[in-house]
Amino acid sequence: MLGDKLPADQAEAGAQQIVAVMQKMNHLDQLRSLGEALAHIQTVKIFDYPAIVELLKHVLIVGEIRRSILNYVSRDTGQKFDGLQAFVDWAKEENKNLDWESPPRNPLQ
Amino acid sequence: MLFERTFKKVQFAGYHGYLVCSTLRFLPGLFMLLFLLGVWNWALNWQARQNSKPILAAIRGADLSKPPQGEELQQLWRLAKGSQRLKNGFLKEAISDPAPHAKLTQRRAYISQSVFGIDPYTHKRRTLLERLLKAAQEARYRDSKSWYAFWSSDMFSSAPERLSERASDIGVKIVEAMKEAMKNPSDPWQLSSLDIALGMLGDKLPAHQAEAGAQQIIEAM
Repeated sequence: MLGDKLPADQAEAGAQQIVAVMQKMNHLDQLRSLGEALAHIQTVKIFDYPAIVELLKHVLIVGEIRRSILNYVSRDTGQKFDGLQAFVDWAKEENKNLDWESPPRNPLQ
Repeated sequence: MLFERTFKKVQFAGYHGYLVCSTLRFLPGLFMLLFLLGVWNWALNWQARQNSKPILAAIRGADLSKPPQGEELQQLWRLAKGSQRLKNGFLKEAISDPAPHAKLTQRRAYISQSVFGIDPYTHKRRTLLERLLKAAQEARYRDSKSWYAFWSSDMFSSAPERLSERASDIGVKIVEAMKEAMKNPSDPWQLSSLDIALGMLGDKLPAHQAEAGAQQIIEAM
């Protein structure tokens, strides 16, 4: 809940850290909690879109956790994403040049 | 020579018969090559289907009261990191397997994520969607019908605009398949799944179809 009270630079660093931790997690409840934390961060500028794409490939990132991440991304873009396809379409239009196709990295290995 | 002929670099000058004969002589070798390539491809597909069986078995053995973990999670990761051939093999196996589908139905979000990830190309999804709807029509058991119907609903909702580009009535077909799967439902979650799916498909459906789906829910309740 501190997310919306933090200065922008700290919020951005915190969000980046959360994304990095989520990539290494393989437990649904923990991912859900961190996803919610991410969604609560109000002021944010995303610098590392490849990390977001990598996170969205995670096997357990479905449903509400995915929505939390897309809400977090929409804070930066100013555009609300109804679903994953909307985000993919937006990123392609913006020529973000992201790697959509390579397989995800398994945190268990 | 035919290739060179198109650029007029070669003139046959009365040797057309020789061209036909030499082409015919070459054909058995070409057929044999194509046959061997076909056999090789079939063998790789067969192997992929065999490799996908442990994945299917792990999902079937899942404890649905808990999120994916242990062996099931390992196998989902294996599927996600696997080749396209393994994924195709898994889908074929999952569609054709006559064993009960209840666990697959409830884990379908994770299965979809493992198979498609965030693949921006929807033609694979469209192919699967069409295959699922066909399987839903042909399935004998309600359990299998619901697996096909609810999974196809998930597929559709992942990219409704693109998936309905060619087949605008595909949402209608999905709701029909779901209604068919819902007759005398034994599981309350099926009811809520239909409710959720209708909500997702709602604005893509003709009004009478959405109304009929809602009516179905009320009847089932």
